[in-house]
Amino acid sequence: MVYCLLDTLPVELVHHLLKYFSAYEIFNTFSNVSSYIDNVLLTYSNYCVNFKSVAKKEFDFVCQRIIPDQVIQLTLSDDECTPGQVELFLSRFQINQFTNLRSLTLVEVGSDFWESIITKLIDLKNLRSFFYDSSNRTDTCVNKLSYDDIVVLDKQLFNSYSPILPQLNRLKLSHGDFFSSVQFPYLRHLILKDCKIDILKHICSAAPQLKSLQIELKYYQSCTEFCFLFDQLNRLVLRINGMNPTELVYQNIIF
Amino acid sequence: MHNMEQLMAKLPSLKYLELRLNGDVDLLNGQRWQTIMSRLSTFDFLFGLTIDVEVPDLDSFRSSFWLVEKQWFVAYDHGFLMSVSRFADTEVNEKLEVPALTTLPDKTIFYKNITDLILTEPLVTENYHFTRIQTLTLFNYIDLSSIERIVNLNRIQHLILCSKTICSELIFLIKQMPNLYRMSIRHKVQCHLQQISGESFEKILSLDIGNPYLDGDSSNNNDNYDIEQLSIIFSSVEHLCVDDWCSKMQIFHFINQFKHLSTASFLYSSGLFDAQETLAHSAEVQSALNQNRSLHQLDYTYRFDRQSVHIWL
Repeated sequence: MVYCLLDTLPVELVHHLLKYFSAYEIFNTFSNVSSYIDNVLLTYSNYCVNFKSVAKKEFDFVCQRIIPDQVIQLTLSDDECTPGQVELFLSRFQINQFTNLRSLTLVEVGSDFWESIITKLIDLKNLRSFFYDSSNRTDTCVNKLSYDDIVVLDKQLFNSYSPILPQLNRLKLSHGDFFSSVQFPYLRHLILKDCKIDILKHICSAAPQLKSLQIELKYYQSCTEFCFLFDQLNRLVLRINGMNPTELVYQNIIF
Repeated sequence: MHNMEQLMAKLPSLKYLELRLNGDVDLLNGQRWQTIMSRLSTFDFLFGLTIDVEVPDLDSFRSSFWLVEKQWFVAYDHGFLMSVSRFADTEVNEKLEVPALTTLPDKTIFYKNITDLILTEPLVTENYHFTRIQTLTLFNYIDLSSIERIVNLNRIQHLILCSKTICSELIFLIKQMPNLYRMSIRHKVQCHLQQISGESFEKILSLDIGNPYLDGDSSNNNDNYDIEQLSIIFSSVEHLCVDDWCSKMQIFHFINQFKHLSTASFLYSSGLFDAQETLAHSAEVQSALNQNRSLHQLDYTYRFDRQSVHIWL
């Protein structure tokens, strides 16, 4: 019988080691090493799953092995490297099965899937980080929905996910158009691709712990004066897209 | 500038700042920046100046605060004032246009940042040797020794061939690049293939064929390249992107010939067809993919976007 030296390590130490590996690496490397390690893998509850740019075989392999309530980080991607991934994933799992999920990242996930994912977010009580990455607000996919339909859907879904916004530490969205009714007591990092000035004003009072902010403002003709006080802010990435380089009207914004 | 001062006054804890915006000419004032930015550890900016200053005075950015204490170097180019490390161009062609106005001591720092080099003719003016090029684009035939003189081939990962003329030393060129893993052949695919037939480039993992931007030159449409030959030369390709319009047959031919594919993308729309024909073709491709999948019990997935179909195998 082969004696496995890893068997001498206490469970906590093995867990500590596993923290350095992704879910795929854990299943690939640590399975079938010894029955002790197999048991440790079964009870480990901090799996990090990242499906961005993975091979299909890897995706299938991990999907077969993961147990949803043991996953704390999940990244799903429907970009050109993994087209059709989200549909396949949702045929196997529902998002609300991942009850211990702390961090969810969606990359290029089209509006066809928004409803099935977003409406379930409210069940994720441990969610602290939500990133929605999209190159284009109206999406480069051939959608079944028209642009107008998407705008309506976006607004409707806000009611589904707005309850979880206050519990987040980290958030990335395409826009914050509906934020004026939300408070962000624990928010530390915020990235908004498109931000309106009045929303920005709301954020500076609604997110008192904000440390890092990355936003793009579109400058408008009407000059709105507001105060931009973020006394905890450590990092700011600001881009203002002027309508016309020769327009100096933005000077009227009082920061 | 006044707005910037007010902005900084409202952000007392700020340590890292990046700004991209259009602004007044008074942003060209290094001293005023100095007074408000001294507590920052990182300050990167790209300002589009509203009035194009012919020869702006960058002296206010040459104080010891800027050059020594913070080492924040700036450059001015085509109406933009920018932080060199963050916003300077990483792409250059053989004209080597780098910002002439800068607080940097010399141009070599710009050259060090260049990762993309585009050559349409051999470089004759400078004797600089680029050491960090990752992507090399060749528009015309350039002899190997000229290329080697100006570029360190060891770092090149992506080679793009746009040449309408044939590069006879192509095989040698490819072999001289140990880290090359991606190739794009934009024009005259069949002619290029003839140059490299009989070879096997197993290190190429990613291949792009064709040019989606047909420039009215219909020779691309008649470029009937041999898919089988392609798959023999580039046998290890895992990521294939075909930017020429593909028929249903061609799509399956590609998928079947390249044995190690992980992802494949094919253009289904074309400037030659109208919207209805394009829609019909995409529907045809979709049903063929579905049929093929159930027939052979495969499990690939795919997605259509406006121009291409992407397949995950």
